[in-house]
Amino acid sequence: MLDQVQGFVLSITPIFTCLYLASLGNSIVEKSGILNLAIDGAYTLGTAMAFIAVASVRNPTLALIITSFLIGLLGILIAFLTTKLPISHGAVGLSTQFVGYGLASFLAYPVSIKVRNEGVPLNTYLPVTEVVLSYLIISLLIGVITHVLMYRSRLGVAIRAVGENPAVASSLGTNVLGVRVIAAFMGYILIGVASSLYILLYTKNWQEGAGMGYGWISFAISISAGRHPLVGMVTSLIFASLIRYAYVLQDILISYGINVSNYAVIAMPFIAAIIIPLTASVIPQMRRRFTPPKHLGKIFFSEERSV
Amino acid sequence: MTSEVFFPSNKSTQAQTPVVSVCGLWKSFPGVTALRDVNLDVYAGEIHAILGENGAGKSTLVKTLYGVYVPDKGDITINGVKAVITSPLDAMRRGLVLVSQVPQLIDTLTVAENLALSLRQFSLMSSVKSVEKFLLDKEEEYGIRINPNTEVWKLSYTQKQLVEVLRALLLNATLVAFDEATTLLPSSEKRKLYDFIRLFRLKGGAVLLITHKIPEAMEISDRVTVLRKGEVVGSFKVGEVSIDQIRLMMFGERFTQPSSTGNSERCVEGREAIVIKDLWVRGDYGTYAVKGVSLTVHRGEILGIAGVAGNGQLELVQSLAGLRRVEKGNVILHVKDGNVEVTNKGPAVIRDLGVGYIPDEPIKTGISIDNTIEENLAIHPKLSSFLINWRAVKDLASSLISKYNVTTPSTTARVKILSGGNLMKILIARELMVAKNVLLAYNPTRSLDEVSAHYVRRLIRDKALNEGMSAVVVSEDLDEVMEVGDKIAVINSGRLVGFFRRGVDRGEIERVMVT
Ligand SMILES: Nc1ncnc2c1ncn2[C@@H]1O[C@H](COP(=O)(O)OP(=O)(O)O)[C@@H](O)[C@H]1O
Ligand SMILES: [Mg+2]
Repeated sequence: MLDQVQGFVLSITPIFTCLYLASLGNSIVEKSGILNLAIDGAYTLGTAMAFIAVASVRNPTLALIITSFLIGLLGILIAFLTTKLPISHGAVGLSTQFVGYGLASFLAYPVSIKVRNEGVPLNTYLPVTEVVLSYLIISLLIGVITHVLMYRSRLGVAIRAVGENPAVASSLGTNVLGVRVIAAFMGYILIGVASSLYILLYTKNWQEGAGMGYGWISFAISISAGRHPLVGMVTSLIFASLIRYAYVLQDILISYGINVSNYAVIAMPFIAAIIIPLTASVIPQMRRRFTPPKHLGKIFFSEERSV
Repeated sequence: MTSEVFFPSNKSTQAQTPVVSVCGLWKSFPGVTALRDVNLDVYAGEIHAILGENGAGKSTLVKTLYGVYVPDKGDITINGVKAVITSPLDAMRRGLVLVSQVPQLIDTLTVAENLALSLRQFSLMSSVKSVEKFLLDKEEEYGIRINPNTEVWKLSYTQKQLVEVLRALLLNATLVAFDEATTLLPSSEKRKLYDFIRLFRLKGGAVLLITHKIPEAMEISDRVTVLRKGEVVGSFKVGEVSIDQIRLMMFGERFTQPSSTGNSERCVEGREAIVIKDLWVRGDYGTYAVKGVSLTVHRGEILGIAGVAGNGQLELVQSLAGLRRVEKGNVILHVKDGNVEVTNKGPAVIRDLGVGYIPDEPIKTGISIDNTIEENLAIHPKLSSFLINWRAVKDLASSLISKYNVTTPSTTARVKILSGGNLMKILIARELMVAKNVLLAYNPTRSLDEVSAHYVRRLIRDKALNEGMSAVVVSEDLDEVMEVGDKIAVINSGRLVGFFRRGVDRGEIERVMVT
């Protein structure tokens, strides 16, 4: 029994951390009112950078730190563009996504050739219990810290305020750009950590398109958790299990004579993304929590009439 | 009130250098010049009223002082030192605070969280709990009782304004600008706020006061500056000029003696138009907000409903308009082709019977501020069909703009660039036009200047008199109810507690409003 639990935890943790931390990052970014459509591009770019970094510095933790910092800088850029310029969040997000996809291949592909041809060793994390468990504990801890930060500290209040109504937040004395820059930096660092772990703890190698789609899954997790750090733990667990055990589940169903196609299996996490918030919205107290920030994705003009 | 602690000490009794001085200030927005070469000196220990019609530039002036707008040209001097105010944060640091008519608070956050955004003594990492504790202590000191842990959306309007005042106090402001902040307060609360303002002056604070209520302004202020179309047309010590001279400066040719809406009592015989029987409606929290209201309005008659905000009047009007479920009781409209039961029929059916509706908080529920004036007219199903005849809409828009004297660059201006009063006029113009049989209104003139407000009330009365429209006009402003209503009902805790005829003594109404 204990062995089974341990086995489950060990097998689910890598995918759990690389979804949960990114969803956490997404929640912080979106709470500040930035529509985070760049997430999948950032995630894909992050996996590529982690791969390049670990191939050159040969130390997984150092690679993770470098990658997260660089992805964090990308977050700052996005915060600046969406807050200071009158361009739509959608345009900024989606173009950043495609730049991210492109850069990821462009930068990592030559390195992957080199790694293969020259037999460069990839010092990713060892799949030993201590390492895996410590990453589980670290990510849960980060989740709790984020929760405290968002709901108990003045910084968290400022982040939520600029997402709800930047004009009013500014009139109360908040520096909208400053707060969004901080939020996006923190959020993108987490996305950077998650995408690094994708390479360093989960797949252990890079190939064309690595990480692509996982940004969107994290996005879905974050939203289906109402962008709440603690609820996100539960939804991440559901998504991680569905991804990790999808085919096991398919086999079980087939053995009972229920035939499910592969597509249905792939779609399962996304169906969960719809069902979870629907269920939550039945509970009135939850519904309030689940509503998106009022100004999410809206352009902020500081001289706009707020009447 | 224990005042010593929190008011700025009486530093400069001679008041030689102005606390704030504005020199040659210009500000324009696309299509309008909101401020032209404005000069203004505000001294410590003075209440300085800024008067002007809707769109005169009053809000623009104080928002510029508060760092919301950057002036195009001109200087602002604070205590003799030239200052470039770059943001509200910057203004607050320099001791300038703005309190507006629409509370600038974030609804989903608690009181403590909102104030935490302003209080610089707390660092970004300090906990909300510590702010809560600080507030509890301070509230004790100031005699303001609002639980800092309540989310703002749960507060009444008065409470929200008190939070704004508390904010000004906690920031140790040297100058507080009140931009129509008292307009919507019930008179008892308003008096309290004026008391606070006087005390603030006594302790050497400077106040900029913007209000539509000219007599009120004259009563409380020391100095008056009049703005007209963005220009200062006069600045006087109170007492140097008469109220009528000031009105003339404010409104120019528009000002003709503020005609009381004329015709005193008139006898409305006609048949019944609106019959409400034992109406029960729930409020936002699920408890009953309207508890068994019954009333009848005749054809061509105007019923004014007075009451302190939050006593069920909002829910009553919303249920009549089909926007809130009626739990029990019924509403019957008598229109030309007979009686129609409209209880819970939904707004589409009700509006189709020739019902106009001027909602509370028009910006949220009455008008789409991101759309143009034309679009806001064309959206109304009564004013256009599936395909829109834009030329007709444009003509309609132009005629309404000139009829109601709306200040706007064009008929295709987005509504959000209009000043609050002009925006309200667009809504009123549209709704009066569609109100063939019935008009439902909540604070219909809440942000209009004196002349515009009288004008709108007269339009409502004229339409009732000449076209037989019936109206239910709810207002938190008792003067309005008295001016517009043929009969007046008072609502208190969801029940009608008094009925009066037009011309009744104000004191009698106030007595039943607050018991
Ligand atoms: N943010 C803004 N954008 C565009 N136009 C504005 C803005 N704020 C005010 N205006 C315009 O400037 C003029 C003055 O408005 P305002 O200062 O709000 O008037 P008041 O407060 O005296 O009623 C109006 O014509 C209004 O339409
Ligand atoms: Mg104004």
